[in-house]
Amino acid sequence: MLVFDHVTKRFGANTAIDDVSLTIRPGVITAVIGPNGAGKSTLVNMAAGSFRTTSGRILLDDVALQDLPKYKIARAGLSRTYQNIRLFDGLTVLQNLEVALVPRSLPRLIMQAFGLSPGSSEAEARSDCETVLQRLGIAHLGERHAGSLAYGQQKLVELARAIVARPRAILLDEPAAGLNHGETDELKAHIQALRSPDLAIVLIEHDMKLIMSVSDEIYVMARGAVLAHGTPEAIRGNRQVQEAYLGQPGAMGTIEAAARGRRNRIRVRAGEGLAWGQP
Amino acid sequence: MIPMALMPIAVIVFGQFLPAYPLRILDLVLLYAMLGLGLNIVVGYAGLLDLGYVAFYAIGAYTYALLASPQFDLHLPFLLVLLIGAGLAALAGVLLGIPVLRLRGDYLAIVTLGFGEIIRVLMNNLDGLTNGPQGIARIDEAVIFGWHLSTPLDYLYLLVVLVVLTFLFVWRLQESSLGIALAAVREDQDAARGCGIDTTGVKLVAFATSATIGGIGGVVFASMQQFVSPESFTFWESLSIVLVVVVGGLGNPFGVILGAALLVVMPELLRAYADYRQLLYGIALVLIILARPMGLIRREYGPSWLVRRMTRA
Amino acid sequence: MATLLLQQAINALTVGAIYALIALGYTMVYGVLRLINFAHSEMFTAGAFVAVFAASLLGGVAGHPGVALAAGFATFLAIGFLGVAVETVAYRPLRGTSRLAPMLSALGMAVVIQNVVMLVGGRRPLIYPSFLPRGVFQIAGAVVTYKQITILAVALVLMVGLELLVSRTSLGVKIRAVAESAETASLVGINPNLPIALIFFVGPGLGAVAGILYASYYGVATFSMGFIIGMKAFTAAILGGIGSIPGAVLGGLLLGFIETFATAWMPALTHGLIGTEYRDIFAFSVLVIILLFRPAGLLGEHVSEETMVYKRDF
Repeated sequence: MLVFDHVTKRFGANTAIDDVSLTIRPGVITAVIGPNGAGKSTLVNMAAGSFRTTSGRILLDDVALQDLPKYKIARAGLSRTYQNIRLFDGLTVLQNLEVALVPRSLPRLIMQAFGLSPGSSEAEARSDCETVLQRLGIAHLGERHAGSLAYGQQKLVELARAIVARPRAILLDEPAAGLNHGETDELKAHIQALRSPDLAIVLIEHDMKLIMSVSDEIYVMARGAVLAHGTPEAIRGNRQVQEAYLGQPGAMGTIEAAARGRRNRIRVRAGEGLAWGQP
Repeated sequence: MIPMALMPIAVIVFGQFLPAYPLRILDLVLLYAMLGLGLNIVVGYAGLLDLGYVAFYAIGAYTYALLASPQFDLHLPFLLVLLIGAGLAALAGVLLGIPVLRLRGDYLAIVTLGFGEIIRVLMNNLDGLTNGPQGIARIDEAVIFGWHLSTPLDYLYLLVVLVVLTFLFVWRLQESSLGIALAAVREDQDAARGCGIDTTGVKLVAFATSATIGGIGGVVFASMQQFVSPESFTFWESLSIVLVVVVGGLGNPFGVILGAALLVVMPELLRAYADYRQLLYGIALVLIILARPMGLIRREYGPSWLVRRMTRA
Repeated sequence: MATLLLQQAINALTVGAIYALIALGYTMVYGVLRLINFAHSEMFTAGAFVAVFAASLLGGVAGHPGVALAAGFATFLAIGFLGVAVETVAYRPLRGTSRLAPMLSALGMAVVIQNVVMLVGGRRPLIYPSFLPRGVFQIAGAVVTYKQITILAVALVLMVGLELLVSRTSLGVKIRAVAESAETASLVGINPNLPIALIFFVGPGLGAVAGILYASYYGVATFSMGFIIGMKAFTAAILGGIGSIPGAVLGGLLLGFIETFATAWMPALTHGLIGTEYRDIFAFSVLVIILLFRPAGLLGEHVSEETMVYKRDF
C-alpha cells in the first residue's frame, strides 16, 4: 500500500501540492487524473524522491519514503516509468533490465567483480529479465540497443525495467503518451496484467479511454488538491468532474475554487453521487 | 579466446628481437596500456572525467622510491611495496572520492585536476621526504622471488603479465553487475538511482579500483626507471593517459591498448622534428578526434564481442 | 596592520580582476556548450604575445596610451577571431557526438596554440614591455600603482560592457536563449551558431586583454604561463557557479583575495610549515571546501535532478 499522508509541496511561494492525502491499495489500478498543472507529476516525483516534500509523509507499506535518497526508495520497492523515456540508450534491452537487479550490497558487487563470488545471481538475474521481456512480448529485442528501438518499444522496455525487480508499488507516468491506437491497446493489456495482490499501481494518464477501461479507482486532482475520488463509473457519472476535465467553459473555475478556496473535497463513491466533504 | 591469448605471446617473441631502445618504448607502451586500462574504469565505464590520474601513479612511484632506495636506506621487497603502493593509492582514491563523487561530472574533472597538482606540488616541496625537484635516484631494481629484473626485456615480461592480468580483470569487471551499474551511471545517473543503484557508492568503487591500478603502475615505473622526480607527474602526464583511453576507444580494452601504442610511439616518431614535435602532436590529436570522436575502436567491439564472433564462426 | 591589510586588499583586487576576466570566457562557453574550453588559457598567453607584436607594428612604445589602446584593441580582435576559428574548426564538428570529444579537442588546440606561441615567441621568458602607465600614489599609507588602477578600470569597463551586451542587446537575448536550451532556441528560429560564435569571440578577447594586463603587471611573459592561470580562472568560474557571469566575477575576485591573503599569512600561521610555494594549490583547496558545502558554487543555481539539461555527465 502506498500512502500520501497530508503531503504539501511548495516551490517558493507557489504551492504545487496542497495537503493531499491518497491511498493506493495493492491489487488494484489507481489512476490519478487532472488537467495540466494539477500536481500529478509533482506527486510522482515526490514519491520517487526527485523532489522533497515540504511537509507530510509518503509511506510504502509503513516505510517512510519522504526522507530517503532516491536509490533507497527504489530499494524499498517503489519503481516508476518516466513521462519522457529515460532508458540507458547505449545498453542493450537486457542490460537495461539487469540494472534494476544489480545486487544491493557494495561488498557483494566488489566480490563479484573480482570473481570471488559465484556468478549464479548474475545468471538468475538474466533469466528473470528474459521472463519479463517474454511477458511483454519483446523477448526478441533483448540484444538490441535501447536507443535504437522505436518509441513504442522503448515504452515497453521501460515498463519491463520497472517491474523486473518485483516492486511493491509502481508509478506509471503517462505510459500511453505518444502511442498510436494499436500500441495503446497493447499497453492496456499489459497494464491489466500487472494487477497482482501485492502490487500497488498508480497510473497517471491523459487518455481518458484508457483510464476508464483499466482503472479500478480514480483520484481527480486540480490545482494541487484532490477534487474527487471514486470508481470510474462514479467519476464518469459525475457531470461536474467530467466538465472540469473536458475543460468546458465555466466549469474549470468552479472546481478550482472548490478545490482551493474553501478546501472542500468532492468525494465520489460508487452509487453515492457527489458529496461535499467537510474541511 | 585464441587470438587474444596469442597477442601477449607475440609481444614477448617480438621483444626478443628488439634492441634496447625500442624495447624500452615497448615497455612504455605496455605501462601506458596498463594505466589506460585502469583509468578506463572511471572514464570509459563510469563516464567520469578524471584529470588527476597521475596523482595515484605518483603515489605508487614515490612509495617504491621511498621504501626501496638509499633515500632512507630502506630496501623492502618489490612485491611487498607493490601491495603497499596499491593500498595507498586505493586509500587516496577513496579519500578523494568521498567528497567529490557526489558532485557533477565537470566538477570532478577540475577537482581531480587540482588534486593531481596538489600531489605534484607536495612532492616538489616536501624536500625532507622526497628530495624535492631533484627527485630520488638509485632506486632498487625489482626482485620477484629471486628473479632480478634488470634489463628492459625483464621488464617486458613483467609488464606483459601485468597488462594481461589487468586486461582480464577489467573485462571481468565490465561484464559483472558492477560493470552494469557503472554503465547505467554513465548513461543516465538519475535513472540509475531510480533503479536502486547507489550511484555514489559504485562510483567510489570504480574510482578506488582505478586508483589501485594507477598505484601499481607507479611502483613498476619507479623500479623500471630507478629514478623518480615530480617532473614525471605533471598534468600532461594525466592528460596523456586520458588520451590513451579516449583516442583508443572509450570503454574498450582493445582500444585502450591500441591508444597506448599510438600515443607512445607517435611522439617517438616525431622526435626527429625536435621543436615542432609537440605542435605536430597537438595537431594529430585534434585530427584524430575530429575523424573518430568516439575513439579508434568503438565500445561495442570489445573482448566479449570478439569471443562471440569467434565462437559463432 | 591596517595599512598592510589595505595593501594586500589592493593587490588581491588587481589579481582577482584578472582572474575574473579570464573566468568570464570559461563560464560563457560552459554556460552555452557545457564545454570546458581548455584552449582558453592559451588565448590568454597568445594575447600577451600578440599585443607586443601589435605594438611593434604600430612602431610605438608600449607604454604610450595611444599605442597601448590601439594594440589592446587589435589584440582583442585578433584573439577574438582566433577563438571563432578554433570553435569552427575543432569544436563545431564535434557538437552532438559526446561531451568528452570536444573537451579533448580543446586540449589538443591548447597544445597547438601554446607551441605556436613558443615557436614564434621563443622558449625563454619575455621581459614584458608594460602597456600600463607608470607611477604610484598612496592611500592611507598603502602604495597603489597606476598599473593597478588601470587594470581595475579596464576590467570594470569590459565587464560592464559584457553585462550590457548580454542583458540589453538582441544578440544577448539569443545567447541566453541558446544557453537555456539550444534545442528550444532553434525551435523558435534562433540559429545557435551565431550566438556561439559571438561567445567564442568575446571570451577569448577578454582573455587576451587579461593576458596583456597580467604580463604588464608582472613584467614578464612565458609561453607556458597560461596553464596555471587558466586553471585558477576556471576554478574561479566554478567558485562563483559556472555558467553565471556575475558568478565568474565574484569567483575571480574571491580567488584573488584567498590567494593573496593565504600566501601572505599561511607561513606565519603555520610556523613556516606551509610556505608561499603552496600558493598555487590554495585555490584548489578552497574550491574543494566550497563545493562540499555548495555543490553548485556560490551564485550557481541548484540544478534539480529532474530538470538537468543533459542526462550524461560526459
